[in-house]
Amino acid sequence: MSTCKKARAEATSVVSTDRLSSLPPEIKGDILSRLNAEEAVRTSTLSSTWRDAWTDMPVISLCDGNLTRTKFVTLVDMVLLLHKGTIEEFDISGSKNYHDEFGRWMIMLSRKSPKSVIIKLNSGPRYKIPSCLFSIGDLEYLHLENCIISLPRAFQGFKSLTDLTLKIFSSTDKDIQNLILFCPALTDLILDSFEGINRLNIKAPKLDYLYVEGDFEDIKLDAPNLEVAFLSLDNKGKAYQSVPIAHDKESYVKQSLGSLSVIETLTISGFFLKYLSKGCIHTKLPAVFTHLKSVCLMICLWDQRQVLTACSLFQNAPNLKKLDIWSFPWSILGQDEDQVGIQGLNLQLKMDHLVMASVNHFGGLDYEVDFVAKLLSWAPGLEELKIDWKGEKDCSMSLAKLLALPRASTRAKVIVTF
Amino acid sequence: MSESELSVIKPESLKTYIWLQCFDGSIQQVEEEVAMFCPMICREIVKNGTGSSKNHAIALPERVNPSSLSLILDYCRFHQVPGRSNKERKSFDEKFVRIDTEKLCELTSAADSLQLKPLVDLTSRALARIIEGKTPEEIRDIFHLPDDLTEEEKLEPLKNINDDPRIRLLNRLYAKKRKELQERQKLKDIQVQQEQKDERSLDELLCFINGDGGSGGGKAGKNKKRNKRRKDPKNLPKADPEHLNKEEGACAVPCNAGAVNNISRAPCPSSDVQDDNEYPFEDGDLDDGLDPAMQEELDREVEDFARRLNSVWPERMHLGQERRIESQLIGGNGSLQRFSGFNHR
Repeated sequence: MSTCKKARAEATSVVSTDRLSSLPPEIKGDILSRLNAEEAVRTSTLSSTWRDAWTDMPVISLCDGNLTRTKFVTLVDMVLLLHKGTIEEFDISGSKNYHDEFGRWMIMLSRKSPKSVIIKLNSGPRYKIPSCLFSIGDLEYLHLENCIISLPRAFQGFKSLTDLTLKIFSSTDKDIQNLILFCPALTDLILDSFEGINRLNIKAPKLDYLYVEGDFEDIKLDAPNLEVAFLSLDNKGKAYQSVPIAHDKESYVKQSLGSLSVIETLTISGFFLKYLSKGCIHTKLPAVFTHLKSVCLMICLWDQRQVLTACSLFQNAPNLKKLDIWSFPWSILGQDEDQVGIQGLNLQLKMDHLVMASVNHFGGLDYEVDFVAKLLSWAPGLEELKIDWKGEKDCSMSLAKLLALPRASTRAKVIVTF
Repeated sequence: MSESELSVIKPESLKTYIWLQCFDGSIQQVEEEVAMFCPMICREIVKNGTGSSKNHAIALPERVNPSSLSLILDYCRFHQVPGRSNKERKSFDEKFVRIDTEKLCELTSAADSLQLKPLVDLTSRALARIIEGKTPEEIRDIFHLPDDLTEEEKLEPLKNINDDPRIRLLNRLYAKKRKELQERQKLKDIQVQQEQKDERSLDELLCFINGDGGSGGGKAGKNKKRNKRRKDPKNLPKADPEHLNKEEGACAVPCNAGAVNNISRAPCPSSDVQDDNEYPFEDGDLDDGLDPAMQEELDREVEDFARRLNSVWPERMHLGQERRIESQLIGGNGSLQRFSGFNHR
């Protein structure tokens, strides 16, 4: 408010000119793009030069914040109808139900051929994405939430799409496979929380970054350029419950990680490691992960198969520098399984480059301590091992065991946090 | 001291200077590396060879007045030094734009004519911040805009929208279509193909109404302006703060319920999460052989785990746009922070 008064004082004493309106239209558009669409449209009431300034802004950002449903609908309609220029980015998010309007908004939007579309209408049943959106040929960035992806028969693909994010969506195996396949330029892919997909088949030659978290039975990955991967399997899937089939020749590790020859950072979360440990566990994988520097694993340390799978991964990652382990806490699941963990497995690994390691959710149980013991003996270059304690209040027994463990590295520090 | 001694002690004398001339005729000289930071000046020096002497000073565009020029040169002088950290640069930038709005507008205009994109971004952002959240009267005050619209004109856009025949027709068509679909659904199961067919015919209908020849939306034959690609993190939506609060609330409930026995050791994750998922899935499969109560525990715990892991990934979520958000991140190396623990707030 004081700026207002100051401005008024200036106005009376100095001949002040309107410098803002004399800015070139691209700059005006740039400034308005940084505002909420609601505020940008409101500038049309400022003065005559500002009537149409907003109709040229390259970025439209609509959010239904504190607007009522009808007001927001009016706003979106107005923006989509009256906007004249090109839309570089279109961004709409809302927490009310817009199913009645969604179809016409998508048609109006697709006519403007935006380069980037973000739709986060998170309330109510899923929005079916109409076919008009799939015909925006120049799309570069697409982020959809709470939707149903059903490709039209004549889907040509998004030739320029580099970023695809789908969250809380339903689709089918074929549709997702084709969507990814027909986007040859895809570099970043995020698939988070989905329904209706059993077998994920991701074939993306230019993919750099992958995030998959959901409920699937099977995954096949062909992404030779992948550098960062986050793979997580929800427990709602059948995968975690199935008992490993005897003589299962399939190697799930090969199928999902085999093509990742340049991977640098790998995170395996949820029940994904359990899924990987079904079937064949090769000790030598087809691709050696020479670039793999950082691994984060969620693992049931009492499950021998999972431990074996993890170790075969370490064996094929000679340059691994950082390892983070998240220890599954429960014994519920372990009732039928080996609670032995790494004990009894005669494994000799060399983790020469391992510098930092951490074990999180450490409960001080025997199999966890055994694993830490092995880790310390395999890593001659280890500098720091962090243990985040989440067990019983009385940790003295486990701490005593930890202290007594021999270390291959003279520099190794074992840091326990609570 | 003698001349030769001076020239040895002071390395500044070895610097080359560039001569710049403003539209009003005033000439000044500036260190070469500072001037080269401006693309437009850089081009003049390299291509046309101007600027090396007073007589051949580079003629700056009209929109660059002397006061803006000195500000711009200050900006260039600071930023062209390579050794500065992101934090330093950001804090300099923040102080730099704390000038009165008139000067800020002139600066924006000048920076644009010199094609100094980072400064244009900075000043545009500052101007947007000033405009944000203010009523039209306040904005008119601050920027001295003339209030030259009639009350009628001010209300026009809104009126247009409700009267627009296209909108009304679309509304009616959609309402009709929806009713039909609902009725059909009541009668029998709808195949997905049928739904698709319905939609396509609706598309065609609309195209026909709007006078287009072709079928289906897609590319309009407009003259597209080749706008420079925005490097702004629009993908970090401003709406998040509201959703984030909702998530914190939703988060607290399952955690407390689950903390009954020793089983759940996972503390409630604080929401560093940028996604506003409220998993709308129904827990349908409760007969998988596990006791339903345990199943729920498991579900909750795995979600907790996953969320804890995921919460270190928010920066990474937009790897492809890391360059976009670099200027927004307050220092720190995004990739290093990834696994070094959680930022509990």
